[in-house]
Amino acid sequence: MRPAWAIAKKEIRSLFVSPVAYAAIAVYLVINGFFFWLAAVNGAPASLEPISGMMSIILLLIAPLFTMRIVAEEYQNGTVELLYTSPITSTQIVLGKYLAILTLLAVLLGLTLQFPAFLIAFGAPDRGPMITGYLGIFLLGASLMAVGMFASSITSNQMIAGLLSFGILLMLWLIESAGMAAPQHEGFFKAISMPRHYDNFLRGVLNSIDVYFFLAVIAGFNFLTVKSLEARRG
Amino acid sequence: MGKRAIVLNSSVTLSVVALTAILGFLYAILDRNQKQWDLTESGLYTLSGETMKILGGLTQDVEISAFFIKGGRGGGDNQMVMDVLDRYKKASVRIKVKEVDPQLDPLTTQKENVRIDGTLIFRSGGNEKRVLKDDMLTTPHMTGFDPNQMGRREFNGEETITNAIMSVTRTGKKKVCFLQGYGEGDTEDEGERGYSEALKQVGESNLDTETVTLFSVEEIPADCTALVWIAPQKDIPETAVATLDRFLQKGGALGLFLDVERGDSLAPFLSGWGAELDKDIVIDLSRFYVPIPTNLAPEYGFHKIVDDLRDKKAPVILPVARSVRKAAEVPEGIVTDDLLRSSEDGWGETNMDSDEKPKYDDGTDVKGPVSLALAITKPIGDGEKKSKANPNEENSSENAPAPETRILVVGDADFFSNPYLLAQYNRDLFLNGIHWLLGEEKRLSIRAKSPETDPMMLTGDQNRMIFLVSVLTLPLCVVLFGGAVWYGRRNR
Repeated sequence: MRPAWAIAKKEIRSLFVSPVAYAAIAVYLVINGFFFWLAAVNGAPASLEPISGMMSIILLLIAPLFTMRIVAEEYQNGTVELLYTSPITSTQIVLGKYLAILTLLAVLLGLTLQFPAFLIAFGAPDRGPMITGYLGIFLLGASLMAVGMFASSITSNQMIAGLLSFGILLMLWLIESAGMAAPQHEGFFKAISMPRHYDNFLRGVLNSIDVYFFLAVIAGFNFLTVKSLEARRG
Repeated sequence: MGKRAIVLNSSVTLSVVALTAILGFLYAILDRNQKQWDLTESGLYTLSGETMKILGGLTQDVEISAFFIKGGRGGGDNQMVMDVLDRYKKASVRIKVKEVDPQLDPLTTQKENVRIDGTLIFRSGGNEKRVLKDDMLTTPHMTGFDPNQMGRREFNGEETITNAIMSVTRTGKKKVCFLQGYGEGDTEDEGERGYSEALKQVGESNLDTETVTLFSVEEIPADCTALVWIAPQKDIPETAVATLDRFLQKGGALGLFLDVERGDSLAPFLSGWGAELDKDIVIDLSRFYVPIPTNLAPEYGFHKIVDDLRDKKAPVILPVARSVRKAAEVPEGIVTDDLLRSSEDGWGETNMDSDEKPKYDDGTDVKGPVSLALAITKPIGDGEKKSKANPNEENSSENAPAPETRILVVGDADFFSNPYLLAQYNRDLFLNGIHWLLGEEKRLSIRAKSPETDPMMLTGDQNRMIFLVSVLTLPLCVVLFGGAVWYGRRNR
């Protein structure tokens, strides 16, 4: 665990000196802040519902920005050789980098806690959906980051990594609509649809299958990242 | 490609396939054994204990066909109903739900004669009931008594669906008999003075109905589970009263709805059952629908018939009513409960011929609060159990009420006439009364749950604070911090 933690610390430092991270966080806050303010001024219900969709969509768009360099840059700079020659396993590398990305996600979402704070101060919100909503968006964000990190691991080019990540995420986001073209498989497409599993969290419902879904995506794509590193290492 | 690369790639592929299979398998298992926690304040996504009990007691399948246009204008409301149905499906293997998209399956839609998006058809054992999604979403009627209700919709999907399930699974059909013969309100009349809508509502509750002419029968037919008597206009002869009394003494049920200045001949009969009539018209200067002080918005007592209306703060309107109150001396064994009453500013005006502006006259008028409706019960003896032609499921259950006579007396018959039945919550009051008479204790009135939270009403300062912090200050701080970090590294 210590090697993974060392990698995580190094990656956190690297992420938080990059202007990209700050720019992306600022944009995320401005857009969500604007829509939150607009909803509040127009007498929307005292809940996160007016902005929950926006928060998830923008996260979908900026996740590739956060993750595109995390592995690809190592290949681009040649620093990956140092990792490969060290006794650190691919799993520890992936774990460390993923922890760093999760830290960035936690900071991003932490800065949005101003919204529920305002709701509690100025309204009478139902706190259950707020709690599950944040759990949901954290799990969603963690899944998006896992996908992004995998895309970053299969190419040396950050731009391609970003585009690939965006493409995979968009497909996973819209996959449920494929059920309309193939109604006999509608159940399958619903089962692998991210928005469908995210919705329950927004409503205030904690369902074991939804938690499992996101954990499975996280585990699955991190596993793929490990295998990708091992394949390129070999 | 070298041999090592091929082995590696095969190994990677196998690992990925194996992991996908394992994750998929686990998903399938967990999907069948889902656990869910509803963290909403109102328990919006949890079925009530009452519903779970009813679902647990189902002995036959209930098929529900749900006609919803996917992606249609119904949108979130459609999804809300489908989510509720999903919970029913998971709660009981007896509930079978079939989703039909009218746009994708017009043949089935046509065959079932469905014309409205959001139609549910319940079927079980040859019974059928249809409900609409719009019936499940209501906006509380504004009364001025609770401005916080403004615009906030309530969702009573669970009540509607559970009651529909109960309707179609009822094994014996109960019968409501409408008494005629003395100028009563006409259940065939579709006009302003008719009660055809009330008859239709009773029929839609999966109940049989029949008209019984009181003066032509010696005994009330045995298959009448409950009688409804709507505003008899003429004096009732003793023979008819005796026929009625015999029916009640055997554990029968009667809903008697009176007009002002009519039905006084029933006063002795009602006195024998613990109720008294005053020759008055009730006026209320606090709880009335402007501008007519006889259009009453009564307060509620504590009784199963009105408990849900009281809890929901759901108002009714009695267009014009007379007082009906508990007798000074109630015969032994009889229990009377107030259902509706005026406020303390109301009174029973006995001088109905005067042209002067009505005011309370101490000594002649009936002092408020004035009782407007009573529920009367009397247990019947062990040897006098009324035999019902149609035994029903509810009464055979372990929670069935003990056999007793039930009488509902209301000092107004207009509130459920055609023009008024759908006003405010009049229909609910009428149907609650009918179901109580039928002994349907499990007939639910599950409290409607609001899917919406109260809106935020911001002051100018609060508005500005949100904008300054959320849109300007916090993002700017992030940019400045990032700039400082970048500048610091650049100069190192």
